[in-house]
Amino acid sequence: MPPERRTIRIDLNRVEGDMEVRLELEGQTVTDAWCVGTMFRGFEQILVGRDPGDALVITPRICGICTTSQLYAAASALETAYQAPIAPNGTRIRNLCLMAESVMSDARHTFLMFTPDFCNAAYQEHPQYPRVMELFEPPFRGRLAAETVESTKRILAIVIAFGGQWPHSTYMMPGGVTCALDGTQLAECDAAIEEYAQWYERSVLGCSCEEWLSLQSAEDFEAWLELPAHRESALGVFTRFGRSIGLPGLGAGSPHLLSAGCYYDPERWQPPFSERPCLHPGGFYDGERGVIEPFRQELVSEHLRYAKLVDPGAPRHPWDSETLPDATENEAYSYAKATRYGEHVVQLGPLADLVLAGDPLIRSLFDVEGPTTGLRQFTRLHRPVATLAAMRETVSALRADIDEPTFLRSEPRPDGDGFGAINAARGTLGHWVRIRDGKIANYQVITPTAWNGSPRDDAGRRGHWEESFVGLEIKDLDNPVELFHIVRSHDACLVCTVHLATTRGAPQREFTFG
Amino acid sequence: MTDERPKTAAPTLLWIACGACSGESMAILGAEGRGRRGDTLPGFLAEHDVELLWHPSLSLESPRQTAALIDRIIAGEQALTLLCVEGSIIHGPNGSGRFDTFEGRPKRDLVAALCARADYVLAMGSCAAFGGIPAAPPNPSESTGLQFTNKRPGGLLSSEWRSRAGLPVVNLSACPVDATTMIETMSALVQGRTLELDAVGRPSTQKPCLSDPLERRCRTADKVGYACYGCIGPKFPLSRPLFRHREVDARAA
Repeated sequence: MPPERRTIRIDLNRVEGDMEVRLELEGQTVTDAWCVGTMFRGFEQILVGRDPGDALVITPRICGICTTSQLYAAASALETAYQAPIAPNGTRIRNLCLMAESVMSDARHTFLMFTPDFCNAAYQEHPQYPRVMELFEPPFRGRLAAETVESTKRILAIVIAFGGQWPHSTYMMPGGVTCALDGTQLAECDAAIEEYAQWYERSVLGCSCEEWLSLQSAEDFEAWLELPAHRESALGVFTRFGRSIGLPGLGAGSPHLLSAGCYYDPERWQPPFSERPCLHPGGFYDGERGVIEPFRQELVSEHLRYAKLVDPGAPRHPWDSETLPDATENEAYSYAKATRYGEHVVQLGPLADLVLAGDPLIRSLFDVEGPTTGLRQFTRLHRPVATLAAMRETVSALRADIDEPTFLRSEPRPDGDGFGAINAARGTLGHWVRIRDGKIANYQVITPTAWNGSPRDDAGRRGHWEESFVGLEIKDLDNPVELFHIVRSHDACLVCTVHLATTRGAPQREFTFG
Repeated sequence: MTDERPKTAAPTLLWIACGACSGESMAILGAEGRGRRGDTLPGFLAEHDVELLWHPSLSLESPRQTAALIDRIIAGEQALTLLCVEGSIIHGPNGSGRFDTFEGRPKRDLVAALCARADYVLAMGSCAAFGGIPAAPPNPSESTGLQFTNKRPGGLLSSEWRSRAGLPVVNLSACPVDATTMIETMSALVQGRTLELDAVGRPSTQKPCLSDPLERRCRTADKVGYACYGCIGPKFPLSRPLFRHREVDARAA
């Protein structure tokens, strides 16, 4: 008898926002998938016609977790449109605050959103379950969960020192940052970084940051894992439990990776902005050919065939893109546009950022296992160590130039096209602005989640998440924990993505559970 | 209305997010720094022995399991002390509410049904209080606040609506509202202390944030060099630019 074919809809939480996944199954195996965001606010329509400076206030409100990234991207978009010179200390302060947000996000995502699924009832009989519960039990009961709240609230003191509040403060503007710089702030930053690093060493790594940074390959990591202090750290338990439940074999998705680079170089990021000099390079990793090419923003295109929007008939670059709802009943199933890089479906995120930056440990592990669920999340445990070191360097650079300005004044131009790309915690975030007669004529935000969670494109190719679910075997359809692991390894931020996306997906003939 | 709910000593909290950015969810996990206390949500839950029924970003249970919990609350089988709503109430497209669904149902309908069962309803942030940024012109999602639409009384709930404990929606109007304000307000409510609300439902626990309309002497704008609509108060500016840069003297304290 052939296996039963059916379609199910699964709503998900702990994705920052709301998300629906529709799966077609043959027996217990997923044969097709559609991802839909389920809430719409319409930021782009709100921005059109307003003063360009309003983007600095409005775009951070797209998302409460990556608010600093949105602000930075908006400031960059305006600066490139205006060709405004930027004070190097302004870039340093921006980078420092962005780094603090990234460090906070990696911990909060890992220990408040990802590891709770290790505590799923499906694993009750697993020999490591008591240990997993002791460390990760939600909400806030596991030791790491509780400690994460305490530690991450303190690293945010860095953003508060310059911006006054987190999330949502508008301390970046074209030319630099609005706040002055003094020794007291830098001392607060030093203290916050030290305290966080000590917690991270003690609770997460089980070794010093220095020792962790000395690991350069998959072999180094396996040797590191042999020591009891390392095996029993949060990272050790994460790795061993994750391997035992199959995370390294799950949900690879698209083999192609994309990153626009991480952290602008304060000395070199200036008009005419024809290059993007970053502290860590970006690029496009062609997963089929195994080569890295430079990132070219002209290759970003939006496909509207499966979007419930007026379809111009061919993919368009964000500067030329429009968002006009089209309620015609056809094959379209989402208000989200399918974003593509040239002809490729791409994957964005910390893994993409670090592979393209040439991080030796991550590149080595990536060559062994590919872009899997396990490695995506492992990257979030690994990345903060290097970020903390970069934060110390940035504070030193600020201290050395403490009397230099944090802001350079220049005249905004009434017309210009701008593009700001920033490494949010979830991957490259892009803002494209078109300014005409001193007003916003067009504003497009493409978030990393919009790339990853996109619907099918004009050629009918699935987006990265949709691709990552195909072939998945789900043991218990009432409790699809394997799906939960894959989804949460993507670190979806649906509030970001659905700023101009909505629901109503195909397939129409379906039954829902529960 | 007879209260047939099982008597429970421990207060309960349900958090639901609508047209939201998760700003208050992130803020209530705490953000320390100069001039800020270290209040956090887990600290509040422990101190007042409050049971967290569900939070979309933090709880283990899936939306399907939560739908069952919500149905029990609506049926009167599960007591609900604090209903915390984050984000604007979305009524689009064309009044259907289908721009924001939960398990296939318009979220605004679930929120309305939950409000009828909660002892207290808190609007966590300007979006839930007044509509906030999503309700800015042209309001593409047809957003309102819980009990106000920008400055106009009436939103999802009429201006006459009162919760089971006799209060209107408690409006914490800021963007986002900080952890201390949210926690002090909830603490006052679970302890049965009286909260004074102003003409737009804001309690006395609300401190000024960055925007000067609430408190001209907070001086935060002088310290950080800008005055933006941190509170995004009841009235969202239509024709004025939102961002105001203030030159900060590098030598000032």
